[in-house]
Amino acid sequence: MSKDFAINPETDGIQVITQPSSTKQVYLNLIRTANIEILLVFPTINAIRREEKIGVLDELIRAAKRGVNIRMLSPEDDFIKIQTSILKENNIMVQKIETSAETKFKLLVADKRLVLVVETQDDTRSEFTEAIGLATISNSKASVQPYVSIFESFWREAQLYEKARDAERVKDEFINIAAHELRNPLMPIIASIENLKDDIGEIFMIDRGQKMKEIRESLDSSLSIILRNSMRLLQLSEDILQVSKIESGTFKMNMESVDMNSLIDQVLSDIKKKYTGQKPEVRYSFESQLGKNNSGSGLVCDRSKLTQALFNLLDNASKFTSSGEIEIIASRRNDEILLEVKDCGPGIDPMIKKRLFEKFASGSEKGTGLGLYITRKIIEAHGGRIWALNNMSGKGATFSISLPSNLHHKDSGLDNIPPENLGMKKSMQFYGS
Amino acid sequence: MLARILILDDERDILESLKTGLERRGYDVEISCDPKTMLAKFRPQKYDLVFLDMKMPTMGGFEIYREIKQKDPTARVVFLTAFEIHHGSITKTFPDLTEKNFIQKPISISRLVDLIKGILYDSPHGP
Repeated sequence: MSKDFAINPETDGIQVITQPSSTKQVYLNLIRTANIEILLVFPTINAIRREEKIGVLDELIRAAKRGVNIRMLSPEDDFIKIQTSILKENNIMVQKIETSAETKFKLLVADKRLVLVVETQDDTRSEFTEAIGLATISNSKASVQPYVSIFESFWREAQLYEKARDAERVKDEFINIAAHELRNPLMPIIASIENLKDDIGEIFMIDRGQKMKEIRESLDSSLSIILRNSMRLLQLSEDILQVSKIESGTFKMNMESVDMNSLIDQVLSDIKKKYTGQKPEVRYSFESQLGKNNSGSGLVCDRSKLTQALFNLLDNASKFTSSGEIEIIASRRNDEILLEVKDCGPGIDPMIKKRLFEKFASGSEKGTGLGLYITRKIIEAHGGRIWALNNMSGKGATFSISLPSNLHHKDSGLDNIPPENLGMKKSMQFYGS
Repeated sequence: MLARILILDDERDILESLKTGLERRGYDVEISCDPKTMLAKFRPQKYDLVFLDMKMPTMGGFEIYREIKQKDPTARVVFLTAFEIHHGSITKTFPDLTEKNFIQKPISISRLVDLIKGILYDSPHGP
């Protein structure tokens, strides 16, 4: 032990260590002299880097080799992952602390008999003795026992958190694999139908007789049925996957600044393409009251999900409108952007109005029954609202979305959206090859 | 002949149906389900466009991408994938990859041809 202080082993005591160099010596000696167990909390990522430099990790490995049972709680980054994997290879148990739970103190309990608590004064320093403040060492039961309890609580919590993370990873992986297995077979089905149609066209070029014409029409009709139903299967599998993600909490948002005028123009273009030739009497119009620059038409949102939500609304309007105009109106109202999709179809059936945005509400044959539910979830994930009313004119309905225009985005997004609106995980996106 | 295309996927049905459809539309198409053999035969400037599956049994799509780019930094590579695409995390590791580098399966031949035209005529060295 350092000359600057000493604890009398015959009596319970607590000592304050003021000199960082003494703290360093005491710390290393505690590890060297431990016989049964070491419990250790590293307060921050920088702390581990500093202590690795003064030989703490090497001392821990030596202690583990002489049979000391060591448990360690520490935050983690890529460098530390390498260090902790070396420690784990030497039978040292390590649990990760989330960086949001980083502490200001380092804790070491040796043999449930001695406790060292070291204050972190300046975590930006690269040297151990420059980063720490005061330390205390105690062999009093009244001091040691509470710290043992604190450590055990942290340890249990870290274990539970790791289990929850693993479970989420398994769910995520399952949904990813399910998506892959549903989408992959549809690719050659769709491509082969196109190829067959081309084949039929070529045969018809060779023989343009009446009989061949009839066969061609029949084949074309059958192929169209196969294609149409393949696309229905595809849409259903996509919708089911979306709903699975929403309900398992693995639905991830990717927030970015988006120009709403461009987004709406793109959605309109996609809808017109989808209904080319099918609805010749339907016209689409878009009125933007958002302005042209970013402060007028800019919005922080998940571009692809909002595109999907708006597409669903326009698709819904298109399905139920046989002729007339479908209008999209975008405007700004205080801190919100308001999007309205107005159709002139039959209006909303009063029998289903209350459940309109729930799963399988309409029982219609015209879709999967999940589109409006998914749309609602997307809008609510943005902290927005969606509602629908029949038009005052008595013809058609208007579906309205309001989105807060004061969202900010960081890498993980969504920090100012109330968790109850989410039902979805706020987390970094992950993809591995 | 419009362009030379290489498609790498572990599903033979996908390879054959795409080859048939794209050749009908004037493309010269080579297919492969074995990344290692494909990489051994790959030469710079041999293909105008390479379609890669994102995950194959013997080699990951991104690993194949790296090897192709090492052999030919100007190679145009597009991932054709049935997996979820998370652009944010991908572009952190591969900043030269954009949304244009990813097409989600399934996709019709005619839509694929539209995208191919967009990729080939959008920029001389993209995507």
